[in-house]
Amino acid sequence: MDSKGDGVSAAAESQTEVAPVEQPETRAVLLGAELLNWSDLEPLNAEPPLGGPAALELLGAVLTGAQHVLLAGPHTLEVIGYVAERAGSLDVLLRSFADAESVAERYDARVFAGGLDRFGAEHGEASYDVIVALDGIPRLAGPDTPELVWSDAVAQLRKRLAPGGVLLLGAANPFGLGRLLDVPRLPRDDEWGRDVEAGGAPPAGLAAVRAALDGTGLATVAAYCLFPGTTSPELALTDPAGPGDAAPVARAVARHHAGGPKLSDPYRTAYDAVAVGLGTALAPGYWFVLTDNAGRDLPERLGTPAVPGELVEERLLAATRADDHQAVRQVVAEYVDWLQTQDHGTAAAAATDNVLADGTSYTLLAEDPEAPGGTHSQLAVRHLAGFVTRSMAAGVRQPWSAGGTPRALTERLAAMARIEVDDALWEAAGVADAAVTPQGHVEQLATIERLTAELAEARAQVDWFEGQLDKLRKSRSYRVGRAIVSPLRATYGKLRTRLR
Amino acid sequence: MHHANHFYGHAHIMADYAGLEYPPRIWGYLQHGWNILDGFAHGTEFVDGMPLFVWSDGVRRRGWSMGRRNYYVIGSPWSYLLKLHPELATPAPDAAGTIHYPFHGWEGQHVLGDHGRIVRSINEHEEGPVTVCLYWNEYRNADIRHVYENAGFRVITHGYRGLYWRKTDENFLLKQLTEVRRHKRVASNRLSSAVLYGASVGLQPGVYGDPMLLQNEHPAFGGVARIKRMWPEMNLPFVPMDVAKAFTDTELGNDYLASPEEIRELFRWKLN
Repeated sequence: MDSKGDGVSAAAESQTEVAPVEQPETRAVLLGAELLNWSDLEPLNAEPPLGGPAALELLGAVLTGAQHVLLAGPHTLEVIGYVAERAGSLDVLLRSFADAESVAERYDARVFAGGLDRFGAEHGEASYDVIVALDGIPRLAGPDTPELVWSDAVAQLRKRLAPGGVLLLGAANPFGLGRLLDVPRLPRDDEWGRDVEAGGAPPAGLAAVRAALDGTGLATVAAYCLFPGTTSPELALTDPAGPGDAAPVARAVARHHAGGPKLSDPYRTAYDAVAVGLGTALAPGYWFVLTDNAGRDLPERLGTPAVPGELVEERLLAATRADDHQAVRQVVAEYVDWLQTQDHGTAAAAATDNVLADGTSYTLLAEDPEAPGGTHSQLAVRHLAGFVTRSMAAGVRQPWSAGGTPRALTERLAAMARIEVDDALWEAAGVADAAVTPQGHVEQLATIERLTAELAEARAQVDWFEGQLDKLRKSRSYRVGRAIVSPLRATYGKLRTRLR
Repeated sequence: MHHANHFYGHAHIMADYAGLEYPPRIWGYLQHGWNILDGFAHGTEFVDGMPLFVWSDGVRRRGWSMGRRNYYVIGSPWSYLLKLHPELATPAPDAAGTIHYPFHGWEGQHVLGDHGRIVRSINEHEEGPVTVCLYWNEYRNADIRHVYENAGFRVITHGYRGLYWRKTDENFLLKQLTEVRRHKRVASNRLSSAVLYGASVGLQPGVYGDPMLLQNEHPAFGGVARIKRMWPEMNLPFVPMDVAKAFTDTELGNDYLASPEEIRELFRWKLN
């Protein structure tokens, strides 16, 4: 039998002599299982890479004097560049081939493309002073890595950590604020089915993650709660609690969830969760700083300074929710009195959700570069209308019937500050006189309930006034008056016709 | 809106305070006397969604529990009257003795009791000159008037509170304030609006004697027994002044007074 051209013989031959794997000309080192036709840095239908100011702040605190750094997983170019500037040497591990090539071209770094499971001892440095895996474990491999066990992956990274080194590790919370806010959607391209036991997800729940990390032999010197999301956290707080943290967290969460359908009002949900001490439990994700060098001193807050006091908005909401008329009046009057004495820029930026009250002293939470113009009274009306709109959109209980639009309630609050809102002032204040759009499905239901009740009240009032008219028409004084006036009216009419 | 809004000249006081010469209709219901339930007379027919303007937060809370909504706590017209008349902020130079208000009924509900026993109780507790102020229907009853006159008391009335927007004595409360300022003590056989008014301007209050029964008094209000259980400290012949001040501040809603602008907004009144 002629064996020439026999595929079986060729295969048998290849079993004895391992053919060298062809390495294409690439900038990155290809590990195998790299993800083709895919970018985590510029995703089409997937999560964006990890980035944001809080990440840079944390890296700034950790990367002091770091020699060898490994950056594992998709992080924004900004983060990669930031690390590259501060590291003695940088290795980057990315699952996407295209991303790896792009990063290798841009930065003075060794880039490895492929799955973490292929990143062996022969790749990169023997050990690293800092390993950055803030994005977490799941995106350290693609579909060609059928099994990725979170604890194994963490152990693998930990093995590459030099003594005294620092591992920065991210982990998503499977029951974060998103579960309370986001409307379910169809799975994205990065959500391919994974092994139920080995899909790369961390243990469920913060306590379980911490327990697993304890097993690495490293100490968790800081655990940050991330807001508003895991991929671009603006805030990272070790202990988000109380009104001072609730305000910046709620603002960030509201911005993050602006637009699109929601289950419930993001601002209110986030604020109330943090204010009652659920900030840690409901954070969308966490960053852990792990090391065997306990001497590290890290900031407790990233992305926001500690702020004293409570937002005027929250004081007002607490008072309106409780139907405490005295408190509503006091908060409104003191706030507007203060606003009237401020320079224009401050008054313009002093929306109730941007002013912190500490007793009767007020400070702006943030400057407003797009501060509107107008007189102080116009600004006060504008800010109060903003508050009314937000509280109605959040389905917050109101002490009085709103009548569908925010104007009626705004007029009432303004009157408490001795400002009477007429059409001219309302127009000058620049408030859109539109019906309030409820924030989420919960608020929609609350709004339907409210409007149904208000409609029933309006109907009852129409019926009552109609009855009063009827009574008047049947009253003796009306009939007597009409008996006198009617003939006079007829005579006057005739006279007028004749005189014309 | 409701004729009770105009009782005792309340609507006129509020209009004066709000800068109007004459009161237009008030968009809502105005509490017209100290009230230990929801702020309004039993059987008042409310129109859904109309605001209920009450003196104190306690009234609002009780009313809410009874299914009423749209309350607005604004304090009592009496408190606004005090703001309107700073010249009556201090007692008259010759202020002396006691002004006593035998608990009154009204046209539809008469009080049942023995006025002679009230006279005896007054004599037991009061030392100085005594003025007895009767409500107009009792004042017109010569028999009742004579009981007090024969005891040596000065007998007066502040006027007619009005009914169905007619014959309201617009100066009812002003007359009362002027008269109150001529005395040092205010007393009654029942804790009632008049005692609150007097105590609120610094008269030493006293509550003693036969409380009298209001004819057909509705059990929902709990009657005198409930008042005594709730405020035992106010049902004494000589109530300490600090106790009286705290009580009247709360029940007259003195911390809840609104500005003229707010009253105009609430009542849907416009300046001309």
